[in-house]
Amino acid sequence: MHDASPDTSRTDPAAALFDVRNVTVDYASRGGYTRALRDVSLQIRPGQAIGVIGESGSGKTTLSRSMLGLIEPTRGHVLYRGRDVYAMGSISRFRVLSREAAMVFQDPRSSLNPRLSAGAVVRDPLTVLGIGTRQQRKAKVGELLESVGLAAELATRPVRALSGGQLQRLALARALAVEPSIIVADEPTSALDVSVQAQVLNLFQQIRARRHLALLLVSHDVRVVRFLADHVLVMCDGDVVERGATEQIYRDPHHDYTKALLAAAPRLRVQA
Amino acid sequence: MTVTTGSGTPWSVPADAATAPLLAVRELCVRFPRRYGDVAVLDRVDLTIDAGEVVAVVGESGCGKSLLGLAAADLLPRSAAVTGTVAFDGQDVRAMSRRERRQMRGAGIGVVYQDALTSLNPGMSAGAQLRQVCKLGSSSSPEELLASVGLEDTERIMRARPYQLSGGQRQRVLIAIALARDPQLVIADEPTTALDVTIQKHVVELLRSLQRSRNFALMFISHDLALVSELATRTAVMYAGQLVESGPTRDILARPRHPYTAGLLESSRSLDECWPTLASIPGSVRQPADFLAGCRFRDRCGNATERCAHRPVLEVDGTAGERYLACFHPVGTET
Ligand SMILES: Nc1ncnc2c1ncn2[C@@H]1O[C@H](COP(=O)(O)OP(=O)(O)OP(=O)(O)O)[C@@H](O)[C@H]1O
Ligand SMILES: Nc1ncnc2c1ncn2[C@@H]1O[C@H](COP(=O)(O)OP(=O)(O)O)[C@@H](O)[C@H]1O
Ligand code: SF4
Ligand SMILES: [Mg+2]
Ligand SMILES: [Mg+2]
Repeated sequence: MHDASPDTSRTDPAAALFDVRNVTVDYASRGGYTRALRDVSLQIRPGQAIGVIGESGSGKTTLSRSMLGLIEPTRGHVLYRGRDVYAMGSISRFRVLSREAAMVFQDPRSSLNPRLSAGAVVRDPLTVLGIGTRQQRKAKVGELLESVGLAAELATRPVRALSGGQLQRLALARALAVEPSIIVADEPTSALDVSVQAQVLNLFQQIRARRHLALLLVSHDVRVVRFLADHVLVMCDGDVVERGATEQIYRDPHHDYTKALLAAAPRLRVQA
Repeated sequence: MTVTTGSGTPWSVPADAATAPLLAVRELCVRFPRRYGDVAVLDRVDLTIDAGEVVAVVGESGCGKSLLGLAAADLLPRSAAVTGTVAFDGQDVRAMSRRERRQMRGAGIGVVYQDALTSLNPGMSAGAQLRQVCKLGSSSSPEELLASVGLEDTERIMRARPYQLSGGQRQRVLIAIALARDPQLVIADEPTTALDVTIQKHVVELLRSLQRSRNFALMFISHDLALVSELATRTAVMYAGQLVESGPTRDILARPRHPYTAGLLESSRSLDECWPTLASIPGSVRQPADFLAGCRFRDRCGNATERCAHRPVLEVDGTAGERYLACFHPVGTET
């Protein structure tokens, strides 16, 4: 394996936000099991952006969900700031992870309730976790909408009346509401058109820098990962086959699978 | 077998069908009066496709690409109010008899939709669906068709229900069905958008090689300029229901003239080259109910003037052959 990441958290595990140790996940399937993750390890430090790329079915979503306390590993451990996530009771696991790690999904149209107003979508996590007074929450919703480039008037609009780009901004505002330390984004721009995607990616970049947020970004699009992530993990059939600094892997991939993945990305063919 | 790129003036309809383009869409307007009143969601769209030609239709979600594809196959919903003409093989589609129309939809035009899972019948095996289409007349057997789209394990695929197939396999089955009746024109509406890059690449390569060996014309609908640049000889760009620019793909990418095309291209390039900040077009596209009169891009356009409150017509672009443009102040013009 080609490992170029200077991972200081390896010597000082407490400095890591997430410390994923030798995690294996098996899904039961008819007459046996599917191994979705095989002995995967990974650390994410505060403010660090890690990308996960790989083909469909390679285990990207399984990895992110197991970190968020949603899929218990068959073997191995997930530590959040040094605490074993799956050794916690389910209530404290929920309280810790939903305040600290927020999720943004690929398809906001199916992950956000279409009948809610945009404002309610952002306010919800605050209400559920009992953060702030009613007045404070209301003010915060306005600020959050503004911080993702949505007009405050949109707060009263129902989710179904928003465009794809607006919805993904809204999903980001919702994720930011609890002031998390890390955002886990699973294909956050795959459903968007090129120019809308560019706006949303720029927004992720700005907000991450401003708030010193860590990011786990799952995508099959190498271009998106290259833009947002400092480090990248390449997954194939549940294995991490290569990892390192994004730019280095992009320029000098070692594993054949990584090479094939890079070659598959469509490239603009312009001849002047 | 001749492959012609480009066309003459797209407006004159030759009486002689032999010299007519395979598909000629002229002044096509589509309205949904119930939902959007008098707003044309397709607004005077002109497009021709010659036999054996690959033409891409590009634009943002909601700009009318799918409607254009549906109109070409005469499959628009009943709620649509349509003006203008669509001619297939020299014949006005909407003036056809029922029989002629059935013939055209079956043997003339094959359609591949974006979402393979919903466009296949979930309760029927892939093989049964393919056999049903082949029965109507085909030069190939279902097994041959599956092999031609690269599905080797034909026996298993024939028996499989759609949910038992992967996304790439489903998309291949759909392509096999679209090709079953040896169509002259295949309309592929974002056939790879739901797939991951590796499978996407295989499907695009498959479409290209089938197009070459079977020599059908291909209308390739996509929002991804990079993908289009790998496949299409000619490209038409749409914005908010209007066709704003068309011409040879290579030319358009090297020298976009419409500010929207230029913006899209810049955005695409910035992602390709990983600029520190990606280029994007300011603002966002409007919903049909709020479309502006005149040029619909003018609230986002850096070149806009008062003149743009009038509707620019798609015309031959004076600076280059075979290019059409609808803009008063195009990019790359000295003022
Ligand atoms: N709930 C489940 N039950 C059984 N198998 C599952 C389940 N979820 C995922 N799998 C299997 O685990 C493997 C990894 O799936 P995962 O969803 O993590 O892939 P992915 O990399 O996110 O793919 P995609 O790019 O398509 O989202 C696949 O083989 C998948 O079929
Ligand atoms: N059956 C319909 N009834 C009403 N409006 C429709 C219908 N089909 C499409 N539209 C509207 O027409 C516009 C163009 O749609 P479409 O062709 O599907 O866009 P694209 O394929 O470019 O994403 C959109 O604003 C859409 O909401
Ligand atoms: S017609 Fe005017 S507003 Fe429209 S694209 Fe051209 S310059 Fe811009
Ligand atoms: Mg996934
Ligand atoms: Mg469409």
